[in-house]
Amino acid sequence: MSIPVGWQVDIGLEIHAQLSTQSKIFSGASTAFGEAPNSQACAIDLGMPGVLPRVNAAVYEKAVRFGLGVTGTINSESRFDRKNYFYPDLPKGYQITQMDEPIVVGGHIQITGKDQSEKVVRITRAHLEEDAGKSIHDFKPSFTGIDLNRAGTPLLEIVSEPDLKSADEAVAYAKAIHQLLTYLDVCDGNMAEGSLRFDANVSVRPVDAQDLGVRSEIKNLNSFRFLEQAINHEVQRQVDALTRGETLTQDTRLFDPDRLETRAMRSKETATDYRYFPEPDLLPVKISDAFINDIKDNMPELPGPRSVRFQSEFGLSLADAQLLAGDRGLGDFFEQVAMITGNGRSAANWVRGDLLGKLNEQNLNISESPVSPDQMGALIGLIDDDIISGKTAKTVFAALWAGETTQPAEYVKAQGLEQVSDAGAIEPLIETLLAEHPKQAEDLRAGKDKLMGFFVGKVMQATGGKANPQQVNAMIRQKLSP
Amino acid sequence: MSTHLDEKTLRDMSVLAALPYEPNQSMETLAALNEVLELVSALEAVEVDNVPPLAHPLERFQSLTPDQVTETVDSEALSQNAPNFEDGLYFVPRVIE
Repeated sequence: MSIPVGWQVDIGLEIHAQLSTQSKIFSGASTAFGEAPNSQACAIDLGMPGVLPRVNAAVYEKAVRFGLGVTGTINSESRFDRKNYFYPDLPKGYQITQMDEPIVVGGHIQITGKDQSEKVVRITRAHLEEDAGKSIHDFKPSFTGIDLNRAGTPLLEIVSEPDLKSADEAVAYAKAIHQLLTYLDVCDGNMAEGSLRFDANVSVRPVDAQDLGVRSEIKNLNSFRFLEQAINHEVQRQVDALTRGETLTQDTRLFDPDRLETRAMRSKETATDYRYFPEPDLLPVKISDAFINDIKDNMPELPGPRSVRFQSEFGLSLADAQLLAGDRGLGDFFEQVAMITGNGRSAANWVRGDLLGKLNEQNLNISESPVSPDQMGALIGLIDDDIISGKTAKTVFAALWAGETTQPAEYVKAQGLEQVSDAGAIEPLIETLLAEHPKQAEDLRAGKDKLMGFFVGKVMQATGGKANPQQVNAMIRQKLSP
Repeated sequence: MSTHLDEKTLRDMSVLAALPYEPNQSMETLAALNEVLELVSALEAVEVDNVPPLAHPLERFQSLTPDQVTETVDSEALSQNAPNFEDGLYFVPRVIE
């Protein structure tokens, strides 16, 4: 949707990323998803009297990794606060969060728009907090069921500046953060399981206005599509209201994807409403330079620089480089194959094409690929050495995938799949074909190059895919030349 | 800040806090609470604008614990003080935003 003429839009996102830890942020209860209700909420998560929270080291490690990934400032001293509100899915009556001294301050991330334009989005802060439980409304009439398994699950809330100017930019930003979080193994990024949720702060103002308009916060959007739809509908709602001469009030809204509208949930709380105060049960957290440096030293090459390197080092196109560098496992796989074969483009074609196609078809992750980088490298080596044709390579790849072999070279030998490069064997085939199809032969000689495919295809068919197409091509040209 | 609690407020608070209300002790309780509130009022006279809040009196820092699952959860035991616990869920009067 385009932005209504005469208006500009300002959007800031708050992204809640569940940190991929084994245990909760303040207790030793498990964070595993999909277990029986309330089987993973211990006395600390429930806020029973007399319990004392503790702080999971892994949440700090992951938050620091994210902070370094966005070149933010890591606060060596951070602190937890209590945010008070009463809701049944929050048994303590308060959430432990970081208000005044968060772990990460500042930073930025680059986004690429649909038109390939690039933009830098500023990050205000990223702070640690605990998640609440889950309310279930359709289990028992007149009652709400509460499952507190999620209570105490570690979250990193990433807050952006209102730098996003359209729903498209907001989605590009959300995708960039999602990619970085999963790349750095900070969050598993599984949106179906609620591992990443967005709150969008949206306001509109006339194009010539200096000050930001009155904003609405749309809560709990759990997909990129809903994020885009919710923002577009909210922008239209605000513009319509202001055009009618109405005054907007700051509020919190929910998006209804069935009706495609946002609905007011409550008037916006302010910080005062939450009565923040320092968490008395937890001391401030101080992390050492050694802790930060150790994480810094083990940071992987990030997707942006890696994509640039893939283009310069292996001659990949921008699209291929971005796709392969965007997923850490896929990028590692590609790079191993490229190093083995010394043929980056071929490695990219196979990984991006046949391998990724098969992985997607069977809903597998690259780490679950039945074909290893060594095997894929060996397969590409057989093509590059003219031992098998590209067509035969697909048969060998299928055999590797199905587990029929682990050694491409041995399989090719055993199955007699070597390419026929013996000119003496191919020449009679070409002569017969040219004689059987005199019109096509004449047209090809006259410059109708599309017919080359016809003849090469016939030779490949006759040899069971074992002829070398380049060699056949050259031999046909030679035969037809005056 | 008002420093005076009346009997009605005390009764309302006891309902909200789910604490037993003893009418024959109300005057005594009221006087004790009002005395506390007067002390709180006295604190308001102290100039604290330039004093940073003291969250923890000791110069100590939180130690971090390894990311390990150490708790086994007995939800039946933990649910003992819940008024309505069924099929593994805590039930409360319907709340929908």
